Amino acid sequence: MDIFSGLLQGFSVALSPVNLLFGFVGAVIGTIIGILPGIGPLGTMALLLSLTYGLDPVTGMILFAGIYFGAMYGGSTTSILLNIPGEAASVVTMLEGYKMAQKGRAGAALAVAAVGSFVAGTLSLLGLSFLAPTLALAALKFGPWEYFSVALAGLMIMSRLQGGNLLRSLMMMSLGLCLGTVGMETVAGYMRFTFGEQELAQGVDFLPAAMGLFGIASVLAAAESPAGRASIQKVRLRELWPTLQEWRRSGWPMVRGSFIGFFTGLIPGPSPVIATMISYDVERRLDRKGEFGNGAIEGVAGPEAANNAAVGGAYVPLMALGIPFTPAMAMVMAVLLIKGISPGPTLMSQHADLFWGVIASMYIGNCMLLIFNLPMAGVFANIIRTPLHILMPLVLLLCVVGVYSVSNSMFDVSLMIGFGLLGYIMEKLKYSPAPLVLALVLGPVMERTFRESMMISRGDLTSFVTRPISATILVVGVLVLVLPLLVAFFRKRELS
Amino acid sequence: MKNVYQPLFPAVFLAVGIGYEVMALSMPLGGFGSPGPGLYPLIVGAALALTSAACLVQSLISVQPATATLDDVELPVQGKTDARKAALLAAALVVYAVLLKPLGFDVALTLLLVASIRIFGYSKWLRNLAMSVLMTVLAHIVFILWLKVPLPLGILTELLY
Repeated sequence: MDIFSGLLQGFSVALSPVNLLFGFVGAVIGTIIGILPGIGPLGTMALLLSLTYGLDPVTGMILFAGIYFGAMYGGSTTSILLNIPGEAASVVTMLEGYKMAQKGRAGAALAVAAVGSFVAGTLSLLGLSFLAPTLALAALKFGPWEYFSVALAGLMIMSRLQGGNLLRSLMMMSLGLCLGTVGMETVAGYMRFTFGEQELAQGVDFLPAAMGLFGIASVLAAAESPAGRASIQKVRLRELWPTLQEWRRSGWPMVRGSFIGFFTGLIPGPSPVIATMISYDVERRLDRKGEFGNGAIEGVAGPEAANNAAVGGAYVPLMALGIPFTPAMAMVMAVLLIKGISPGPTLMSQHADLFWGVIASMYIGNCMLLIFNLPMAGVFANIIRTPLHILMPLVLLLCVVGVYSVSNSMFDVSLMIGFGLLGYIMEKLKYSPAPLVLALVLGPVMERTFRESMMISRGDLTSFVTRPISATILVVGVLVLVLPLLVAFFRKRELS
Repeated sequence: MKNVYQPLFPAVFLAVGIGYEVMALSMPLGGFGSPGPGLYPLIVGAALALTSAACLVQSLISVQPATATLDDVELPVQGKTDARKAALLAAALVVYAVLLKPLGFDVALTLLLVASIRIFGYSKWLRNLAMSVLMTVLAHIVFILWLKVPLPLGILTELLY
């Protein structure tokens, strides 16, 4: 199906009243949680996963896409107005955005952030529309070796790009892989690591792990802070609209940010965060006015575009290959899996209406978000005044009920709480949860494709590197992992 | 205090990894040509043990504080942080899990909410209880009556049925 007829079909799906409604709801929820620190799109999607049961798969996907994009819009509001990042992807926006606010240009910063997000969202969706079908076609040639290599390389790249300590991320990744083996093994029905417990036969599910590590753990961490709320400084929006010069200065940064964001989104790892950092760095180097550090509008336009474009880019590997590259994408995949649909190359042919419907609704969602983020920014920012003692217990409520409603399992509730405790400890000791979660999701895929590859090639391990596509992917993964170490090593030799 | 926990954490997982490997060895491994249930676990268990050992060594020889990862959002905190509150909340969650079946969803959730509202700094008990009951009732309506989630009702079962 070519792109134009696909989009046409997609819009007819996306413009149905139900889908419009859920797109709107998702966008509002996403904006709100983007504003609120402590809970992000991943945790929210986890909480709402049970709701998607009763919905059409398209509608469920539309809801989640709205949440993800909305969070990228919302995060900038508090970054600019209050110097509080609602999202990790909005931290960079604080640098120039808050300075602009202090100079009375908050309105301009907000407008540029919103418009930049819209431009980037649209461009990245165009990229998604063209790239995903192309990649899916190429992926039809994939055998189990290629899927194994993509999953393995994806985990390695994510561990490297996660930042912090590489060894620790790799350790968390290994732990996730081990946890993924718990339960009944699918080929021979063999029980692994269940210690005779009936409950463990179903294995360690992704949802309790994700809700525990990201939801419960952040509530536990928030409990440590002293009572009361962050002091909110009133910032007057002197002029809501940017000047013509400010618009002109923002134009190219928005475009650059969109490209940076989209391509970063294709890569495994915390792509929206990385995209904002790369964009900020690029804009800073290109800065000729010397305003960076004092409220340069390019430093808002670029990063805000980048984090939105990264969302679009992140959908490409999921839709085309069926492999999620971030925990948030794993959550999106869960919506489909619940309905018995597995994303991948066949999705585009068998469920074309789903694919194009979601893309079309993302376009519509971006328009909605632009329209109400601009005038409502000030109103939304007040949401952050919700006292923690109402917000956090509410999050706990949604976590404990939500996880039960997906699997009707008491065990999952306990599992989630266990992961919450683990996640809290990990946060204090600086171990990253994302590689653990992604490894938990990708581990079973890796095992299955590994065994298939081995059976077909009769035990020939070199098959992973003799097949050109698989070899290329593995080499890229290893390079990303090892290159910074080599660079540092050679630099030290030069200096001595 | 953290200096004790930093090496302890990877040490625990090193032990876990070794135990995992031992268990994997007792499973049918097959060969590479026809992998059995134990082959893949053998590989990933080794990865866990090796990376944990490496992290353990790193935590013992390195004096640098660990760096934050990119997903971390370090919020500006005013005043001192109190880890005991987190511990209390963790205990409240464990109690919830234990009491969920016997006491039922409504009672257990109300208790959890009361505890967490208090831990987050709200000291007016009566209003706390009112809010907790209200949230529980709303949750009951949304999740049990509307979405028909079969949450255990415990001691209220006779009352409601």
